[in-house]
Amino acid sequence: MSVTTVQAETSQCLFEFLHMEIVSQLQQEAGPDKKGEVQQRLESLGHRVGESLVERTSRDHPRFKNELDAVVFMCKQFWVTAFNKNIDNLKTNHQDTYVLHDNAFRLLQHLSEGNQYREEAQTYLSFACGLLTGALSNVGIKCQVTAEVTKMPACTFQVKVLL
Amino acid sequence: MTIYNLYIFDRNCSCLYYKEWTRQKEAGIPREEEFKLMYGMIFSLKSLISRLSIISAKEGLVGYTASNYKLHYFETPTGFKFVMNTDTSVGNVQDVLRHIYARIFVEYVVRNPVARPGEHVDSELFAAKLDDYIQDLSFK
Amino acid sequence: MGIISVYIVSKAGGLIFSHDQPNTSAEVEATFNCPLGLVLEEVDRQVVVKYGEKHGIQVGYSLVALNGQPVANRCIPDGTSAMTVLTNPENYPVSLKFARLRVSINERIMLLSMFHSIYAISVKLSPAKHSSGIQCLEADSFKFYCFQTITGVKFIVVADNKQQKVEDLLKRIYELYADFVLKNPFYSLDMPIRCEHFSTNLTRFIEEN
Repeated sequence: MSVTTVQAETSQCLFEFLHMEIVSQLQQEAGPDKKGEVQQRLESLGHRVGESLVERTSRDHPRFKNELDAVVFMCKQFWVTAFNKNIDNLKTNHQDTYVLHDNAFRLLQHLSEGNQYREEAQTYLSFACGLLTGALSNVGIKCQVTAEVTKMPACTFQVKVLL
Repeated sequence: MTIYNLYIFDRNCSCLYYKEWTRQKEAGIPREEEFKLMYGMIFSLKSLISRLSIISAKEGLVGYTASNYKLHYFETPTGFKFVMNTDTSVGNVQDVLRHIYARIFVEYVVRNPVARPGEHVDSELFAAKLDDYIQDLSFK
Repeated sequence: MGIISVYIVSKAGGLIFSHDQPNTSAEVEATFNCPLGLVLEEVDRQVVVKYGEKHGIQVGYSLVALNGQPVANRCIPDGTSAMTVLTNPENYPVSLKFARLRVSINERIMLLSMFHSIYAISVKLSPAKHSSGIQCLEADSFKFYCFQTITGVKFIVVADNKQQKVEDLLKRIYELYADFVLKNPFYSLDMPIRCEHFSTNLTRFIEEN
C-alpha cells in the first residue's frame, strides 16, 4: 500500500469516527425519541460543510451550463472528495427531481448488509443530505434532499429542486 | 483443522463476543460464569509467564496445548483479547487471530457507528464475515 | 540453553522439588555517571530497576555488583546500603552490574500452586471431550511442559524453544522419581524431596540431554 493511499485511508477513518461521535453526542443531548431533532441538526451541520466543500472542489471547474451539469458534478467529483467514491446511478424526470443512488454508502458500509440497524441508519444519512443541500445551494440551486435506505449499505438521495 | 470456539474480551473483563462452531463438551456452568473463568485463567497464565521468564518477553502468552485441544491467544495493544480453541493438529495461528482482529473486528465493530465500546457485539455483519472467514480456514 | 528448570508438584498443589540449570542469565556491566538514568527501588531484598532502560539493562533487572563488590541483601560487603551509595553524587562515576535474577523460592511455590489450579480449570473449560489439562504452555521465548501422572503428581520442565522431545524427558524424570524417591524408605509422600540420589541422577540426566 503506497503512503498516499494509507494517508487517504487514515483521513477517511478520521472523518467517519468524528461523524460517529457527533451523532452519538447529539443523540445524548437530545434525549430519547428525538430522532427528528438530531437529524435536523445533522442536516444543518452538513449544509454548512457542503457549502465550503463545494467551493474547494469546484475551484478549477468552469461554470455549470445548467442544473443537470451541476448535479452530475455532485455525483462525480463532489462525492469522490467527500466519500472517496462516485454516486453509482443518477435518474431524473427532467423537471425538478433527481434521484441519486449509491450502492455502498461509506457511512453505512460497516453497519450491516441486511436488515439489521435499519432505523438507526436513517440518522447517518442526514449529514450527507445536508452536504448536498449546502453544495447545491451554493451553486445557485435551492433544493430539498431526502434520503432513504433501500438495502444496506445502498441508499438513495432524492433531490427536489425548489423554484 | 477444527475450530471449536472463539472468545473476544475487552480490557475490562467483559466478554464482547462468543461463537462456537463445534463443541463436544459443555463446561457445566452458566455462560457468564464460563466467560469470567476463562478471563481469569488467561489473566493468571499471563502473570505466571511474565514472572517465570528470565528474558523479558515481548509477546508473553501465545497459547497452550492439552491432550485433545489447543488454546490460542492474541492480545492487541488496546487490550482486546482473542482466545480461540482448536484441535491439536493446528500450528501457529497468530496471523489468523491478527487477521480476525484487523480485518474483521476493526472493520465491522470499531467502525460500526452503532456499536459502543464495552458493549456486546450485536452486529450481524460482523458475525457473517467472521463465519465466512472461519469456514474458509476449516476447509484448507 | 535447553532446559531452564525442573519442578515437581504434589497432588495437593505444593511444590516438592525445584531445580534450576546453572546457566548464565543475561548480565550487563556498565559505568554510570550522575544522574543515573534508571529509577531503582528496593523490592524483596533486591535492588531492582523500576523504570528506564540503558546499555541493555531493562526493567526487572537486579543490581548484582557495585564497583566490583557483590551486592547481597541490598548492601555492599561493608554494610552500607547500595541505595545510599547511589543517591550520593560524589560516588560517581560508578560501575554497576545488573542481571535478571530468578524468582525466589517462595514466589515459585505460589506460582506453581496457581498453575495447579489453572490446570484444573483448563480441564473444565475444554471444548473437547476427555481432555487432559495443560501439557505445554507456550510463551514467545520459552515453553512450559507439564506431565500429570495418574496419581496426580505433576512433573514440570521449563525449556527454551530449541529443546526437543521434552515429553520423553518428562517420562524419564518420572522413572527417576519412582526409582529414587518412592523407593526411599525415609521419604513420605507429598513432602519436599530431599534425596541426594535423585538430585544427582537428575542433574546427570539433564546434562546428557
